[in-house]
Amino acid sequence: MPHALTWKDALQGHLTPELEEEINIYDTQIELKRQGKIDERVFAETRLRRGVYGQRYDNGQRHDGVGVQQLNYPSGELTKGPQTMWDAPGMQRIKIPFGGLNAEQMETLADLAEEYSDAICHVTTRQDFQLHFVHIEDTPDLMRRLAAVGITTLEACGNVVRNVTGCPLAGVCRDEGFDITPYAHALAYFLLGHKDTQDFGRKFKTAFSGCAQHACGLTTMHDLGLIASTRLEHGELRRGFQFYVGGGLGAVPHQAQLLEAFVPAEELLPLAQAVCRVFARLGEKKNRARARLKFLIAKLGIEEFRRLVLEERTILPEEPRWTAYLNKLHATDDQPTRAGGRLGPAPHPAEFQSWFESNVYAQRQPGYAVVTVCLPLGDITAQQMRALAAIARRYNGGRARTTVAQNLVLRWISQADLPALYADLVAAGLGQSGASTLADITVCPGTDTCKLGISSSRGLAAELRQRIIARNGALDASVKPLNVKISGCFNSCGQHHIADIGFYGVSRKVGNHVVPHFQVVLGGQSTDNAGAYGLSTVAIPSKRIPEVMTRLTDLYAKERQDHETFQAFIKRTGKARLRSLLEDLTRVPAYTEDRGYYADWGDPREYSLGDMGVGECAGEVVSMTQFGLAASERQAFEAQILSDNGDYHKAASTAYEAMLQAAKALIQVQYIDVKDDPEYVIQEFRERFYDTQLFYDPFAGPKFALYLFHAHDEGLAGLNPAAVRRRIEEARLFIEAAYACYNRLGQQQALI
Amino acid sequence: MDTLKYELKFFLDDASGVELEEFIPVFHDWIQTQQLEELLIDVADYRHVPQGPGVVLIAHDAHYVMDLTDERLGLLYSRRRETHPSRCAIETVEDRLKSVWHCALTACQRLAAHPALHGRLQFRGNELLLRCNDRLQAPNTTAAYDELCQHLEPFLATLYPGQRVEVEHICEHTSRLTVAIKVPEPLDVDTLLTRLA
Repeated sequence: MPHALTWKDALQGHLTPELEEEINIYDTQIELKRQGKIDERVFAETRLRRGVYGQRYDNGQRHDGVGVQQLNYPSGELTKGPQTMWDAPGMQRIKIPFGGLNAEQMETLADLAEEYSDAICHVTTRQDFQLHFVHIEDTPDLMRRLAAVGITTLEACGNVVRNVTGCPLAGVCRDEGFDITPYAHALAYFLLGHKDTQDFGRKFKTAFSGCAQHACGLTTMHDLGLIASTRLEHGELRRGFQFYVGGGLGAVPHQAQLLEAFVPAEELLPLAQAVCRVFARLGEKKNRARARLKFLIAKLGIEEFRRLVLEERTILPEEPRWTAYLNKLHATDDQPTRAGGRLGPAPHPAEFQSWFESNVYAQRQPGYAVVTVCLPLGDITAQQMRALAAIARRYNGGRARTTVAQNLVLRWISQADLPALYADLVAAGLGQSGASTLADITVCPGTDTCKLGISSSRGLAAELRQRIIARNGALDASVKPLNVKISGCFNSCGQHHIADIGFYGVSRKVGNHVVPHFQVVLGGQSTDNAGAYGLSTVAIPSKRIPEVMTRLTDLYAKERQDHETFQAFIKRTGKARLRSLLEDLTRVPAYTEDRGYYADWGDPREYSLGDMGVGECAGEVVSMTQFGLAASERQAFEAQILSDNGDYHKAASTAYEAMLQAAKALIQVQYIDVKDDPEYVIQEFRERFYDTQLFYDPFAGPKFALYLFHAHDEGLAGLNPAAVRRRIEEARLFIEAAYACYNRLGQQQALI
Repeated sequence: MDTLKYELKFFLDDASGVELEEFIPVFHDWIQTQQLEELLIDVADYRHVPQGPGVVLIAHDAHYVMDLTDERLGLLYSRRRETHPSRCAIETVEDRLKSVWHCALTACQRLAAHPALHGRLQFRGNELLLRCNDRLQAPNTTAAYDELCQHLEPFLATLYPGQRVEVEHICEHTSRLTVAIKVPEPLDVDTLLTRLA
């Protein structure tokens, strides 16, 4: 019987060797987990760092509106993390640095959505894609297919540097300092997998903006926010960045603080690296709720944090990558493929005119425009994605970018092509107008798929959107540019803090029942890079939120003074009056009177909090040593497979490398900058763990350490199969001893 | 044809009076009572997406979609895995086709009979789409189509005995291997299920 072709075989040679190896390692780890040979938490963080997330109901339970039902998944008790069933559908997050995509990548995303997900590609508020309802066993092939078109899911989740976002207008914006794209690209790939970013207590988010005033980059709500800035020095215009640190939303939002007013471009990467090192060293590791960078800076104060970062910078070992990219800054430039032109004379059809007004932005390059493709709730079907790839190929050479408002943009569109482009978008079901208006709601997944969701943010967003579109003609012009952002809980993935009108999910008990509510957050500001955060006003039952929208927008339209912004209007009106405006909406009818209040939008089940689970946003705090030891176990496993297949030479070297890896992992407990050179590792291990007897087994003494030294001295010459098998066994024992040593060190630490 | 990922779509005869919203409580009801030969897990609501998957019942082995792709409402059965004990006996492509048809038709039958839908649904038994949702094992090529037909045609002959069955290869370059199946005479779901048995 012929061997079935696999994606691994089919794509051999199409991936970079590094990614190919990386995904093969992950594949092996999945197998090891199936066999129960990897620790639960280590495997959870391993998959999270590859973007493989849990999803609602993955603990094997679901409240069906009457009671909690067990979901008996076929693999029984097998899990993929603490309280996370192996077979439960999960989410795959896919990082798209600065949102940049090409047509081939779009087509691949479409293919993957169809074959492994539910035929929907979801754009997140951080320019990622998410595919939902994915089985963990499909994820290695999914990653291979992405890697074959230049996309990695590495570090899309977990306590690492998340997707580096960037203004989607970069390079074509009329107001930017300069194009941030090459810098965002360089920083994203410099920090990806960097040893100094592997030991965080929490995630680390980075954003770039080309200007200080618009809402495209949202830099002040990021751990690291970078705004393009130029300075005239000795008659020469130098590029650099305003360097902000410690911003973040979540339950406790913090505005980022200015670390340096001007960091020259050549200092961008090393200074970011220094920030990461300080965060890894001093950031909270035990209390997740206080582990983001913002809390460290609040604790130390910005002056002390600055001092530590600058001090760290001075001791950083030089890396060529810090500046290598500066010689090829134009490598990331988009080039127009069609001549710029002018939009043909009016009149145009009314639908086109409306779309043109809201969805088209004139680039600073004459004759070209950026077109926003509005995606309702951030969703695009696989078929639409493929159609959009074809449209992009036709009009701009096949380029698109995702946005933090969960849309896609096509840049470098000749203005003469706009009517034809619009017709093509309409044919694909993508011609919706209203970009950056009231109907263009930003929303997190909420109770649809998120384990932390309290209320149905997407259900509410869909309802509001429908009503706003229906009212569109009757809406006052002042109201249309307002933005609405909705989160399913206080964690703020929907960015409710920076909306004109924000909502986040909460619940209230009424009698013996629980009622879904949304807290109303007013007066936030997304312009000025998320310049101000709104304030919670009052919690309203979910089903009455549409009335909240109507009352607030009507009041603004009626009482707005001159060109008063919504934020200024809210401030002037005052919280007390706004609360009294909405007070009567807080009333919940009795369960017997109206059961509609006791169910959420788009979900007929009686509302319950029983489906909430343990979130994985925070990842598992797994040290570099634990990862290193897990990697050594995998290598020992591979050595065994090689030996079983008769490849003794490779098996022996892999067993030796496994021991070396375990030794290196232990050294990292004491010293992070461990080099890969075997002589160096042996020397460091000898000095730090053998000579000090830290590695000594309480009963066997130095025995296991000697296995490593012996294998190092002996090399591979003259090893017969029996000796190879012995070496593999010694590697296993050495790794076990390394684990025991690590545990002893942890106990000693706890006693201090 | 070494794939288990088949999709089958049965179109509604007249979808004019049917709202996608109506399927949400029905699918939740099915989960509550575990109505089908699947582990039923969740309902995904995509009504807001034009020409999209509408409302999806997520199961472990398959998705059941009230699908509006191509702007024609129908029930799309999309098999993902074969872990349910009822699928243990599947050995051949013919077994698999029979199983896929059985699951899709059963879902159509139960939807049509669901009290909340008041008997307004009628699925066309004589017009459907079959798709291989597996670009690796079943690429959209003439060779793969010919291979599929070797298995499909005898199976369709048992389902539509004595009837002329049109099988058309939909050849769009980037789509998955898809065939449109048409039989001139109208046929209901119950009859097909009886013949399948």
